[in-house]
Amino acid sequence: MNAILTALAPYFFSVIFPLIIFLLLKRPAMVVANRIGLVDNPNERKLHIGAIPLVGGILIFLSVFITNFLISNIGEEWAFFQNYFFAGGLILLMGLLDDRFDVRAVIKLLFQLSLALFAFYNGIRVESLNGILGFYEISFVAQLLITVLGITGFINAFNLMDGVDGLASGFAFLTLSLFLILNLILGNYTEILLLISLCTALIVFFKFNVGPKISKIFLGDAGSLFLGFTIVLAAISLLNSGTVLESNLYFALVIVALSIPMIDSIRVYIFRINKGRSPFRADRSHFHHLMVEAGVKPVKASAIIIGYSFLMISISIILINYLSINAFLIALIVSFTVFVMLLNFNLKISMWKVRIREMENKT
Amino acid sequence: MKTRLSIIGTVGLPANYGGFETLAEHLVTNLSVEYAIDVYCSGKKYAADARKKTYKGANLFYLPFDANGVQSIIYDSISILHALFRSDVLLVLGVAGAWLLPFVKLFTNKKIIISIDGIEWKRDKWNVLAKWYLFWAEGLAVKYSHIDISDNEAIQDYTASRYGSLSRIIEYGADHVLNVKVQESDLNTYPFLSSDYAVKVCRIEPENNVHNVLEAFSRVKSQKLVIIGNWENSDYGKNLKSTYSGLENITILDPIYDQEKLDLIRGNASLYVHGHSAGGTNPSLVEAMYLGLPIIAFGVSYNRVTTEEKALYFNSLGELVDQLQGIDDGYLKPLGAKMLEVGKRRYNWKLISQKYRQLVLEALSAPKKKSILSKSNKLDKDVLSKLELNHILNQETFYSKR
Repeated sequence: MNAILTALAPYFFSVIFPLIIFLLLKRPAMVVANRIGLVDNPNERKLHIGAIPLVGGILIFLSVFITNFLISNIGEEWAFFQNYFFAGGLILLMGLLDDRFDVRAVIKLLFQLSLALFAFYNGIRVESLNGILGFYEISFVAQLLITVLGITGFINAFNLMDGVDGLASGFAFLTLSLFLILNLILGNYTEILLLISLCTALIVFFKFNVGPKISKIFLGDAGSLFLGFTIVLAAISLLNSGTVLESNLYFALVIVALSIPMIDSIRVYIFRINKGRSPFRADRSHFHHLMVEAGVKPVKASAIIIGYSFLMISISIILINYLSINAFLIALIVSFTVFVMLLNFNLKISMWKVRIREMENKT
Repeated sequence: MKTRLSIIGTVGLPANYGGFETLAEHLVTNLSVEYAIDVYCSGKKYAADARKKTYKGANLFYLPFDANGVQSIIYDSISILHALFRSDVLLVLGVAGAWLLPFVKLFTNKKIIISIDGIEWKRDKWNVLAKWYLFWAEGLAVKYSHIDISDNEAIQDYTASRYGSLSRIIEYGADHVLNVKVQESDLNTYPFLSSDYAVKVCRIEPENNVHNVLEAFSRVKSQKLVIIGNWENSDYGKNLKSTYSGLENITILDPIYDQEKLDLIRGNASLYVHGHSAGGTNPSLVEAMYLGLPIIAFGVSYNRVTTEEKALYFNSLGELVDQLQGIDDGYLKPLGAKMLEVGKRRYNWKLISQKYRQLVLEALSAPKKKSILSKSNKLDKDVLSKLELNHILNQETFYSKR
């Protein structure tokens, strides 16, 4: 009996600790944020009302970091934690600076590239393409390019996804809990505890993020960069686990999970370039914008996108047994295109609705 | 040989239902000498023993589907396919079957005249999927028909600005309404007939502003209201009925299908309240005008156009209350006379039928649908801007200054 309790204790603590730490630190963090101006003010692209503290990222980071510091067998896992929290802490810090002072985009990008290199150096690598376009094991240079590009690409895509309440945190929760299940199957004890604590912290954050204004907090760039970094690292380390048979499933699931923000940001970049604008100049063409413009409530828009991701993941688990990885990718892109077409169609309808209301009330 | 004309998309004949059916009935009455007319009817609404093979010279075909709701897609589609084998001109009322029209236009030389019936996709009664379908189908209907009909100037503006199409305006007739004098015996059934009262007849739906009208009269106790509609159809109706049925100046009646009784109540009212906010020209408004009633209508463009800006209008509960409080019998009578004048001039079935006849002739002779946009719109915008000729694209169309 005692043995079972001892074995279960870390899991229990990895749920309880982040919860307590988050709630304890939230109020002081909000006070400090308000004092030092770490808040988000509305502008023409931003939908909320009043200044909202940008403390979600640091709260999630601290509650996860302290929890794992307390419960893990640090002696054995030291290298892993040192690297993860070192790099994660750095990107969080840069995000905080960006939230407060607006760091230049080039510096942010260089910083992310160097963190990606650091991860690559520590063994977080895409080593095989599992048959995409016929490629399996790839050369060192290709590994380096794809890994670094993948990490920075995803961090940025995820960063851009953080546009409506509950979307980034909900999506992070979905992907990280998927990775949690996969790690459970693989028995990666260290990652499991880390992922459980992350998921708990995300749930607590989500509750405040979609809640009333008085206790509302945002992830900020700090939070979305840190979470994006975490997700992509967890994803890549999954790629190289498991037997050959399983790895096909993991590979597909990781791609599906990461693809939704990725494809959307690629779509938005292409759209902006086609319009003759800089691909990095912010506008309102991401799919959550398309929905909100069409009159969908922000939280509902988040629910639809997260629901769509969930649906895609569920379908993938079944489909991957019947499709080759390439056919699978094509199916993914087609389904995404249809999804965006429907959103655009819906937007067109809403625009005409407004137009007609104007015509009706013309006297 | 007579030109063969099919009327598609109504519930059927003899007309017991809404505006399209009454229209079909009068088209058959006025045009069946000249054309061989087929009318498609819903078998769901006509029991087997009530069905006729012909009616006033038109052939009737019964299909086992509902003419409204989701089934209207199948109903209209089958009607269109069947009509392709029999008719030269298809008069399609409503857009539910419009997905077929690109094929019809591509593979046959049948002429299609379509009436899009208001801006259906915008109405709250449809769910999201239905709205999406109707939005799409409306586009196909306008683009792939030979002539499209709007029943109202405001709808014409909309089709022009969205599709660049010149819709023809044909409204509804109202000369089927009856002038019924109040008899001694009527006063027993409807005691309110003995004094002045306002009347409103409509489907009990939020888009018809039933809640605002009831609330306004509950605040203006000096005015009486008689309001007729299908209260038991929805929670909205049931709630309103239970909230307002206790008030002394408000009489709530269930639907009346007997034209004579209905016109007894409508025709002898001192004011007609029209709360419809959707659709184009509403048959009920047109009928009230033909009855010579003074009208206070919801101030959307459709109603203003229908009444030629000559009625009273309200845009909110407050405005309606103000209007009701300021009512003066002195100007109500001339207002009713104005409405009757417009009604007689524009809303009689002979005129409407002749307009449809014109369209049939035009459809048979016109080779192609013309866009209202000038040819300069087809020029390459980049080339124009290089040549500094962008101003060519600045055009006023007929609807922009109406």
